[in-house]
Amino acid sequence: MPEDKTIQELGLDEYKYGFRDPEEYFFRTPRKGIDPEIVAMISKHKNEPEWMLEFRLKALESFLEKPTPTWGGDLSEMDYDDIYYYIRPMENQGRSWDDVPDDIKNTFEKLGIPQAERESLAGVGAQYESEVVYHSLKKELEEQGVIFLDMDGGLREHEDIVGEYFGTVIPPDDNKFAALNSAVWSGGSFVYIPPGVSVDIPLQAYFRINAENMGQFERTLIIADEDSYVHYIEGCTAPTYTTNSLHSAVVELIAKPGARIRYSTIQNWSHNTYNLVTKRGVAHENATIEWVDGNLGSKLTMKYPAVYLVGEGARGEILSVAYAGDGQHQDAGGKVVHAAPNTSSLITSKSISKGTGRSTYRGLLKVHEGCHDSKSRVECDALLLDENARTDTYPYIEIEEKKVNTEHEATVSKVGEDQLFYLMSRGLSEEEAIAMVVNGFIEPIAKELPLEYAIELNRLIQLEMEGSVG
Amino acid sequence: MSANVVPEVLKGTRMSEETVKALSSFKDEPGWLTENRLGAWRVFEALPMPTLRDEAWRYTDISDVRPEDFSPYVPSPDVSSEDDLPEAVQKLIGEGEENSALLVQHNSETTFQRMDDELQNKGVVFTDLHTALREYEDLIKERLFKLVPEDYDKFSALSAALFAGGSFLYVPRGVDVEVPIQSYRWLDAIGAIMPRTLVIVEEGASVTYIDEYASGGTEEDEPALSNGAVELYVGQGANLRYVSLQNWGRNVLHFNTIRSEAGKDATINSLVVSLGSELSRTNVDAGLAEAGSDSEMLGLYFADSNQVLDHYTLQDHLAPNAHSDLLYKGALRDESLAVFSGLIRVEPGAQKTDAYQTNRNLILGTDDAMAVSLPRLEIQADDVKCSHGSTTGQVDDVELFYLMSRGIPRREAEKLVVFGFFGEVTSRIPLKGLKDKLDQAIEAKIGLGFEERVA
Repeated sequence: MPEDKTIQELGLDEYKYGFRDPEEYFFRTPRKGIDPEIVAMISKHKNEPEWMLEFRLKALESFLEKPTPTWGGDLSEMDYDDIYYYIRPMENQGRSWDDVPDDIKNTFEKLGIPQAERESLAGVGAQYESEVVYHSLKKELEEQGVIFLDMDGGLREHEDIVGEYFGTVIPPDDNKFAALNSAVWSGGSFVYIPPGVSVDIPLQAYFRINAENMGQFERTLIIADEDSYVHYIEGCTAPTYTTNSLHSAVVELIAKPGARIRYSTIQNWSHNTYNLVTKRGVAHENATIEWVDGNLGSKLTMKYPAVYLVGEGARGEILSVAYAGDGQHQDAGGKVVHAAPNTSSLITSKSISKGTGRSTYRGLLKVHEGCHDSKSRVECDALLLDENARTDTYPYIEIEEKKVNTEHEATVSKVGEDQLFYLMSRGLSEEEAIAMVVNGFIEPIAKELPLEYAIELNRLIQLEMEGSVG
Repeated sequence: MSANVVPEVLKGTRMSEETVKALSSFKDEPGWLTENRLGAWRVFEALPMPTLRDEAWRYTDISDVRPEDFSPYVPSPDVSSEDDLPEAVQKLIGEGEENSALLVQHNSETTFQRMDDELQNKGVVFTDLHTALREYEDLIKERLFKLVPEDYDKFSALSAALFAGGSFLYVPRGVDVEVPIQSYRWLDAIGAIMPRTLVIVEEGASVTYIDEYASGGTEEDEPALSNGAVELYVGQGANLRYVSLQNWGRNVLHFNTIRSEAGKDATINSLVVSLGSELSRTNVDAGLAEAGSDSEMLGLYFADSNQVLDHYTLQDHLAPNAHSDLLYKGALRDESLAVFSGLIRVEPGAQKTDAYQTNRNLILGTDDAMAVSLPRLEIQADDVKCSHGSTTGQVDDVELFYLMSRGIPRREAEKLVVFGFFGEVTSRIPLKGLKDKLDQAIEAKIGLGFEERVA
């Protein structure tokens, strides 16, 4: 257990990242709640082109029209009127690490972003509250023509590209929360990878929520042009507060012919956050989209990363790992739509429920007529650590084509007594043994993450599991 | 009952509160049952028709179905001996499983029934529900509508309000009925029939019971409605094998809810076969209510032309140490739609649950058919073993190649593969007559122009 010391250092009484900085705002909407005036104010504040204002206002109509979903998690306590829809913490984006104010730096220190990472990373787009405050991009990437900006900057500097793709993968009326994001979005990343360019080092952004009752509505658009490759990593963590906050992001990926996009997230919002996110990618001919999606935090997460395979030979892969502790509900999963022949997909879901936690796999696998020789597989494993824990599996499978091969499998189990007995006979404590079994359980996901994230994932789960043996 | 005494209002073309009253009075029913029917009618009227927006009806569109617009009651001809039964029914009986007791419901009435003396001597009761209500009221009052209550869904409300005919089987404690008991539901008129089955198998008893639904109608005929409810009570250590064989003509809309309650160490093995009808929706709900109960749930369906065959299952684990194993296999061709939606639900405290669920679909020679599979799990106990699986695909080229390499012509090879596919289900049924019947039905389904269309 190399992580032993760290776990002790971190302490168990509080949510690990439950510290907070004094709030310093540059701009905030004058009141809570949402209406056309607030939306216009956000747009005006950002000096946006007219079409974006119209986009936002139309999305607001959709949001107000659509009922709150009654499936999935319990959203009955959600109060849309008790949220600030836009907060901007400081005036200018930092150009280098030195320009970032000390208290924000401190926050990142506490978050444990390794110093080495800052230096070696291709670019760090760090989102603090509703705005990217720090942003750097290595020169070599710029020379390759890679664009890595916050979304507002993307709109300012590359209005033509943004205008062409923004909202095309996830239209504003797709669902209630995509509509909300479309109306009030702020921040997020805009990434464009030119044809043939392979970005060797993952692009990363850290997101945080740091104002009470404040929503965060970041919006990310990644376009990988023909035969390019990019791995984007979004990590997030938030301090704990007593009232519920809302995180509702939209992430759109476009993989042009032959391109490959991998998008990794480890979500660790504080346990009072509603995390309602729409993520979807479109994979063209022979393109690949991979979602690696870890859900550890939040009160309720409803998130089903999707891949639409629209070009022949396209491939989609979704790896989902969820950990639901006391009072948490992780309603996660994945969607794959086969809309072209010879496409393939794999969804792997691993969930752990502990205490009164509930993890739900909810997924869709759809094969349209004419998508012959498509192959797909969905695998779900659930591990239950306590008598009161709950797990659900809802895999929707719709097949309209005969020349296909689709498979779904799910298993539910508790940590096996024979496994524990074996490990304990080798001198491990029961706690260590359970941790080892759990680590083995999530290993297929962890190994897909860069090392530091894999370590963080293991560490977080161990931290959550401390004291789980009674 | 002969047709000439049927009150005029029952011969009407629509259902109403008046029909409910008239039916109850026609059957000379006790007051509690009349009240119950009327209450159920009000529930039926209050509940909206399910739409595609309802999770349980997400894929089966019944927006055009107006149950209340069917004639509520379809009279039956008089029958005094087995020879008076329609020829088609006699043929069905002849081809069916050997039986020790038999009941025929022709349209809305039970027209014929017989039972071996041996069973009578052992105290087994098998009769239509109306007769049973007169003779065994107490036994029935406790259980009728308890498993399929009027508020289960709109169709169960309609069944509780207007059921007619139906069958009641009672097997007393410790009695082992070796030869199956069979009921046939035959329909040769336009209107609605609402058969209802109530089975009580007492402690340590054992029986096989088959409900078979058939008619000669074609898609050209006016639509008819069959709305059924089946309640199965199986006591401690008792054993029930229940078969529902739906082979309606193509003008029939079939709605049926089958719910069972297994006592301690009881076993309920069900088989639900769906071959006929234009649209068929069957809810199969196994309640594993006591420790050590066991349920094997088998399903077999074959959809062709524009048929819609929908199965909605629940393995409800309420008690510890229970076991359930579900296997539903279906083939699809032409423009058909098959829906399987199954849930394993493990309630808090149902430790040591062992539950499995498998759905497999075979799409034959068409791209217009659609198979939907929703195998779901809801687990609220930690010491359980649960798994489910689902596959959809076409006839395996490797299997075909192997058979053809052994000198079997392609068409024959394809048939063999389809039979092999269903063999996993049929081989688990220890009923020879039924198995032969299923084989013939599958053969007929494959035969319908299948050869030209197989890719």
